[in-house]
Amino acid sequence: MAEISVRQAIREAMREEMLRDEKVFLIGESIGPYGGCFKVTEGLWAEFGDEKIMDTPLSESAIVGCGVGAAMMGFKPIVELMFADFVTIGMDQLVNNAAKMKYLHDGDIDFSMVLRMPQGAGATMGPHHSQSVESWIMNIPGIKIVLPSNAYDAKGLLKSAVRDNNPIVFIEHKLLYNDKGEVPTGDYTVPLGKAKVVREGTDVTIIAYSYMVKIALQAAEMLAQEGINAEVVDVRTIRPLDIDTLADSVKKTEKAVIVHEAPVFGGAAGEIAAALQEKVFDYLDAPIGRIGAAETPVPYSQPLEHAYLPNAKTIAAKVREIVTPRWGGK
Amino acid sequence: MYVEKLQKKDYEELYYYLYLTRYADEIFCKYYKQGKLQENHHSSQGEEAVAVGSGILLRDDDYVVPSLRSRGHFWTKGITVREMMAGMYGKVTGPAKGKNTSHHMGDMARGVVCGSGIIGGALPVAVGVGLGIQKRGQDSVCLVSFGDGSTSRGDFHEAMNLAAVWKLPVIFVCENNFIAMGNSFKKEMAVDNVAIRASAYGMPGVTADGNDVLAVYEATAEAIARARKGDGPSLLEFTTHRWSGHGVKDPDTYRDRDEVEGYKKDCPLVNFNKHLIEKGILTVEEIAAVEQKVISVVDDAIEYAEQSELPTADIVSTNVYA
Ligand SMILES: Cc1ncc(C[n+]2csc(CCOP(=O)(O)OP(=O)(O)O)c2C)c(N)n1
Repeated sequence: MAEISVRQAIREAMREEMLRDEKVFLIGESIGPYGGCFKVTEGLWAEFGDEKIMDTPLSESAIVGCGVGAAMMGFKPIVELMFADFVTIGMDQLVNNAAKMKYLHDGDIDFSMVLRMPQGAGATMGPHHSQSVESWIMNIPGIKIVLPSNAYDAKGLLKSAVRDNNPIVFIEHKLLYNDKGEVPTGDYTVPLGKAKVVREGTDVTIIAYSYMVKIALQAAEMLAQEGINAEVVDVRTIRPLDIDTLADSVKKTEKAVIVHEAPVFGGAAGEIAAALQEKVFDYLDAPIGRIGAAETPVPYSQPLEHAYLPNAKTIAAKVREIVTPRWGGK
Repeated sequence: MYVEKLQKKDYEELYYYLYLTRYADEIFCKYYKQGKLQENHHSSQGEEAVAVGSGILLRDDDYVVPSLRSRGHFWTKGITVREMMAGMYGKVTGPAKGKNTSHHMGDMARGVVCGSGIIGGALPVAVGVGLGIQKRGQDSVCLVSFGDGSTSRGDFHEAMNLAAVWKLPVIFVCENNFIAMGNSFKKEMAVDNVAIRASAYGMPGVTADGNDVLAVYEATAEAIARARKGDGPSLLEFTTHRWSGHGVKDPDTYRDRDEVEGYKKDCPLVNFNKHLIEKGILTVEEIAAVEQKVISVVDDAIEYAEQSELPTADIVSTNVYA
């Protein structure tokens, strides 16, 4: 085991997959000598050269579409967007081509493509470089959506994504890139579509993914001081959604709060809450809580950005509201 | 020649804005590194003449859509150094009370259209502003600024084409510094220059020296005159070079040092300064007085920004909707 950052974990996954399978290659803007906008691909160009580390013009639609065509030719492109916000430009290729190819060929087609992109606020990067985009992509059958929260998962999930024969949107969080964690050297995978209990508890289930797992864990520590024992579950893959793991946790705790960084309205929490109540309605002791960002664009200046974002305190407050018996307790 | 009509005060003004862009930029870089500023800055040192030489021609009833390296377009449209500096500090006295960054700020009252952090995303908006001008029956223009890298975007193609088909008064100003973040020009496009692309849309395409503020002025003046007459858009390409990394934090390790040092020998400020002296337009003392004025304006702006308050949480949700 070695302690490496999420950035290194993602780089290692790509490097090892390129060495393992000659069909794997990288496309993106300034991913070569520059090393990528967030330096995730740093060093790879020196090792693999232009043929595998392909710098592109500033053309997100062409980049994503090119990934689609190459995937149909049996290659396994890993496509990088500098910021998740720019997925809007590649959206036509993603929605109308990538997501539908398998279906339109009735399954009889190779389609292995990973679209990597960093999202999230907290770095005063303003409204066009800070958004959370997963829910924009959730309503597209045919796409899988992966959001790792730590180095171990990032490496293992990315390897699974590269080996999966579907278009996969792999969403990284820019505030996690420097976070370090234990990662085994050598090959391992983390399966897609499996959530994980990252903190065991009995009183309430906090469901989160990406950077918000870290914040949810902080909230859980705050709550523990008050005698509230929260379980934290990392969703890891929001499509396909591992509803069983989430439901099992809520059956135990009978209460749930779902947290994400995107604004609540139309966010993944709504979908997860709906799926949960279908499974565990009889177990629920309180309405399912949702926590997300304010219903505004991401503001630039720090005090506004802080006010916009969910944090450990707002999560803890929501949990308190939910665990407080509403009808005199049971 | 439009340049021939320039008066002494116009030359002074040009030099004022050139020097302001340089001096403010030096402050932005220094203060960002010191952690005083919230806004990540993209230096325009070495490229000042493009925005200044084109922006200075805009009237109050014209519009500009600036880009990340074209601070001169803000100054020449009347955005104050105080506002811009407050924005860099993330203060409530900055653009949109701190909701927006200064390099994408907009103010329709002063003809400054909000830019986009999505490179190329503002070009279609500029076409819409051109359409608005045409529908109102004005003889105004909309000048939109972008880099060479931006011309690889589909939005560039669509915007150029639509503006040409509808003969809209849009001036497409490409600040060609031959690099997009880490991607050199040859990796961006297979043609030798950006202006050649204009022929595909049926509009004039002109390449001029972007380190010569008067060459920028001349080419822009011609395009503006054409647009005001209702003859439609133009694509102007001004060649220049990026002196530093992409953003302040970029150590720029991927370029040859000698190459970058070489660019600095073709400095738009030095070039213009020499011209002013050699032609006897301004004296050394007069130039020094302009520089002094800039320094005091920037000093005042720093003090203003530092004394301003940060925005408070209560405004975060205001003005999402009307
Ligand atoms: C759609 C989009 N893709 C990528 C980026 C990231 N990015 C910001 S500036 C830049 C380079 C732009 O190059 P150019 O247009 O030539 O302008 P320059 O920076 O050279 O002034 C890139 C890639 C972005 N902001 N928007």
